[in-house]
Amino acid sequence: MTGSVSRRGAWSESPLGRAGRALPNGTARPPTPDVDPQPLEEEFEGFVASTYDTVFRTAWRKSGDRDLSQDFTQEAFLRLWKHRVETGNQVWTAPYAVQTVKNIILDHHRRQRGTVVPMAAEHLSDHPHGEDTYDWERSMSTAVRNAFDRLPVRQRQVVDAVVLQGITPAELARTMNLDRQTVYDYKRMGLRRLARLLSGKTE
Amino acid sequence: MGVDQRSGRPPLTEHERGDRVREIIAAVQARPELGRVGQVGSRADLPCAGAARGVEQWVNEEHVRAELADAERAALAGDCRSARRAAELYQAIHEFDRSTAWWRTAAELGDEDAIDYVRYVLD
Repeated sequence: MTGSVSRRGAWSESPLGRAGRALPNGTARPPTPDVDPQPLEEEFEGFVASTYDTVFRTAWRKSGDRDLSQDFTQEAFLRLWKHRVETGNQVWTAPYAVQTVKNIILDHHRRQRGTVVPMAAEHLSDHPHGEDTYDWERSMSTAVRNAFDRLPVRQRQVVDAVVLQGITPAELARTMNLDRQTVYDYKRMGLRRLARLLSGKTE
Repeated sequence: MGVDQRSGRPPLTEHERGDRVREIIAAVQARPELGRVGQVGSRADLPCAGAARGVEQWVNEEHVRAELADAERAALAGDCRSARRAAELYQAIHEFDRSTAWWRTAAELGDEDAIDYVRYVLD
């Protein structure tokens, strides 16, 4: 990993290696490009917006540090984007993002202490019935839930099943008696619409 | 830490979450090795898995045609959801010309999914 942009500014290496350090005074943030997002970026924005709360809370629960959790969460999403760019495979689902952030925190602990350390806040589990029955809807913020409610019916079904629950497009297509490509199309459209709804852009 | 981690409520305010999301997207766009969508050699613009394959093994053409007959009848009576379903079913059996026609019809009848489909996929 050669560089990253964090809430603290530009770093010359992964934020995880230097998490917790403040930037020197006067260090400028890199400018935010002021252009319309590409379709893929907009789709990614919808994915990040709809799953950020879940991933962040997992990171916080595992690490016990709120500031570090923001870095872990950002790193997790950057990994998912990088995976898509480099391999062409899309793994943009909430369960995958959650597992990614858990791995990142585990790696962080290994680097910090040279050993595998039990997660700090593991006992504060908000998964009362285990990971497989995680209540995604309950973990959403009000804004995200409202945006979800405004999605057309099919897009809502597909985004909920594929992105939040982690059901594969093939499984869902079989259940709904659809072509797999139709599921992919609905997912793309749903994420893009979510991004637009959550960022306040007009349709 | 200020907020109960065990509660089901999200730990961030709406503004905080919005800021964090924007930062992640800015980070994606700012990193040259991650923002190379559209460049020669990038695989990011490739279609998702699922494009250009045969009719799915779970699609039973007989059943689909039976459902199509009902869906088309209801769609011709002005039901936008049935029109969309007809488009989906034609797509499932890879009759893309008819599928496209039904997507457009469903969009004209006001189905929001179909409107987005025409806007983002067909046009």
